[in-house]
Amino acid sequence: MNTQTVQQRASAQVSGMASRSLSDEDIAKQKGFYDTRVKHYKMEALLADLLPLLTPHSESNIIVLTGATGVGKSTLTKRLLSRLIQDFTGVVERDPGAVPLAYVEAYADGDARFSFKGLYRSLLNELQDPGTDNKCSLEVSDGKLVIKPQASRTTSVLRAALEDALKLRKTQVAVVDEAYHLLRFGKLTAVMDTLKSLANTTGVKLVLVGSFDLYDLVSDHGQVARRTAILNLDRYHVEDAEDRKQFKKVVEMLQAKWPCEMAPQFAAISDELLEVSLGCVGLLKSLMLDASAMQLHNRGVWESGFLKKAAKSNKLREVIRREIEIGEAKVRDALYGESLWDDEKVVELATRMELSRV
Amino acid sequence: MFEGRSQFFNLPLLGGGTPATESLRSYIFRLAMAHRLRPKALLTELLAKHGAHSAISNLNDMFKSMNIHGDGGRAKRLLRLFAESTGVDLGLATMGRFLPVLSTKHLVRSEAYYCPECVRVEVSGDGSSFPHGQLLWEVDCVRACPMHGVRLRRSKVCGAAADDKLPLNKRPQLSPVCHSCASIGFRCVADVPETASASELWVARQVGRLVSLPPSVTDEFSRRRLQAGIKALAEARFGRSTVEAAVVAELSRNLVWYWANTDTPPSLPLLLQLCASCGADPLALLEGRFEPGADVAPGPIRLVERDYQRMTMTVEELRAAVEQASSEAPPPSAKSVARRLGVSERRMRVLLPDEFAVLVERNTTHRQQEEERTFQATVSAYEAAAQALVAEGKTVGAKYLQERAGLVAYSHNRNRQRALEGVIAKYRRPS
Repeated sequence: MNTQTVQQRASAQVSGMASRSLSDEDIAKQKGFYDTRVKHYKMEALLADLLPLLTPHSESNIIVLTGATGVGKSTLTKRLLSRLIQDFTGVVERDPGAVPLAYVEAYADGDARFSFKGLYRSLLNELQDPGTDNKCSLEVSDGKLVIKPQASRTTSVLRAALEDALKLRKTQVAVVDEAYHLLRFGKLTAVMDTLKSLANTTGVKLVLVGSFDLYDLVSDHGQVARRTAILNLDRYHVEDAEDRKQFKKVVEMLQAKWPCEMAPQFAAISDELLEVSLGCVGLLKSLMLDASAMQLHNRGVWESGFLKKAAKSNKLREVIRREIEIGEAKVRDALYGESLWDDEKVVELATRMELSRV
Repeated sequence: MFEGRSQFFNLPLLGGGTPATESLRSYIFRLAMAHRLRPKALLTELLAKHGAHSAISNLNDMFKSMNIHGDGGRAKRLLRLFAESTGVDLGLATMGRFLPVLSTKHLVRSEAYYCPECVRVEVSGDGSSFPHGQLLWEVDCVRACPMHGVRLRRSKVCGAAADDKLPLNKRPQLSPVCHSCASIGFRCVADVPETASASELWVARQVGRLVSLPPSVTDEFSRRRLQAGIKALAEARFGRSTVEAAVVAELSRNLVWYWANTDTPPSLPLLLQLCASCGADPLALLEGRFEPGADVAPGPIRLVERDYQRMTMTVEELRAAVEQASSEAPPPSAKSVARRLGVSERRMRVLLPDEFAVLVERNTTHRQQEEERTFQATVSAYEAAAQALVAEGKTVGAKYLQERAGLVAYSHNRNRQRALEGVIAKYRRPS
């Protein structure tokens, strides 16, 4: 097929689609599909590892959740939050002032000096703490209560207010999404020292969600490493039969929520979809969202060309693949569960323990 | 993520259900500190959220006088708002719950007091823990700590050197932390606590019993029950004679009759005075019956000194006392003379209009002369400072002038403001 023919056909399709505006019903269907979150094997396995780490009074205070772009970290975060909200129902009912869970997005505003301030403010807002703009410095020095009214709104005052708020709101878990922005807040050791002391003084479990770069935060610091666990939301691998089977289930679940009456049989090509989406559920969903939008614009009629256009271009896919592989290599031996003992050694240790009981 | 959370932290009320129950004032200050806000900022947040700014005005005055125990709309609303905003029942923290049966008169004092021993025990070695202010310390007739047997101290007394006293914007509002030097637990005052008298301790114990009562008991209190209790006391002790009961308690002759037969509620000190004189248990009286107190008062006590002296003075004696006061140097104010003699200012003006006018006139003249003398002294100090600044080639400005003279012209001190402006105008360089 020559290039000109493809372009002509594509432009004809685009002009045809442009003439069809979506009804409110179509938009609602597409939104419903966009909001669809599917529980899948890898995510549930990671949650099963993560939840015990969030038990109060355990040593791991900082939990880093990494994963490839498009692997489903946002969905994982939402699942985690909804699970924790459910777990904390009793605490919330018993204590009208308790905010056991806080969720914020770290953001960088271009000036590192103000970044922690922004994070503290976001957390204080999340904890529903009043008067963030009127906080004053209160310190006990030499048996005296020292007030520094002019020190209001400095980073240290906000930090102290946050520590108090986390304790008094009985916060157990604070989730910081897009945590790779923390890398820009200052020197990595200073950032991690700040987070470590915040977690230590308040007893809050800090969950940092972000890309593989988060590993850089903990890699140079023994003190931090002791209190940190790194969990990676693994993608599905085409060479693994079980992964292929589980990925097919994900495709089937998404297909079941398809916004058009005529649902393409994606399950039949689940292995190819696994390959094209690099095993990332988020990328798969992006592909299907683009394809569903095209079908809706095409009056609900499916065309095989949609699939080709919805898939990431080779070059972009290659960029993502390379980034994922570098990231995975970086965290491989640092992950939670990747300890000194391999599976064989663990079996041997377990046997010895059992025998000693006898 | 979590809807319906309380606006402020859910701090528990300290000492609830004991004689050391925390006062609402102390609770609000502690809550403000937990949020790292000044109490005024905390209140502003509270009122802004509930749109109650216009309904609750003069908050500063209210806090200064600690008048948050009343049964008026403002105090009740504030209590309700704080209870809603913290999720804590704060009814125990005010004397407001006794107001259906007691008068607001002489109920709470307008100045903070504290027990030096309670404070010492609660403050940790490094001074990092904060003692809480007790409701008992805010009750007007309580002068002693029932737990430690020592006299309460005035919070206004600071033992620090003048240099250690803080500027106004750095003074903490947290009871009991010294407002002047911020010393936690008034460590600035080194005096040995005074031992309280037996009657002071009896009063403190009785009020301690009242403040530690649970709401289930105080909710049952009513004027009708108290009237029944007072009648039972009169019957048991004085053959139903309320006048005799009043005379024994050194009260106005018909006061007890009023309490027993009208809607006039007794004030707490006078009720305790009656109970102490007649050996009655005040709690039983509030519950509508007479019982000899298990904790017997050491004898008759007088808790309100000034209100009933008038009945022992004739008009001629009053005239002589007022004339003598007018000739004192410096001449006292009419208000202080009225207080000293135990009569109201209005009554004194009605009975002795000429003598009263002389007293007022002399006092006014004296005050004007004093003000003028202070003004001239201030001008002299500022002038000397201005001359020194000019000699050094410096500009005579408000800041340098005040610093050099050691006199700050606060906005409320009109005399100093006037003197400062006058001296600056005089020494201002022509532009």
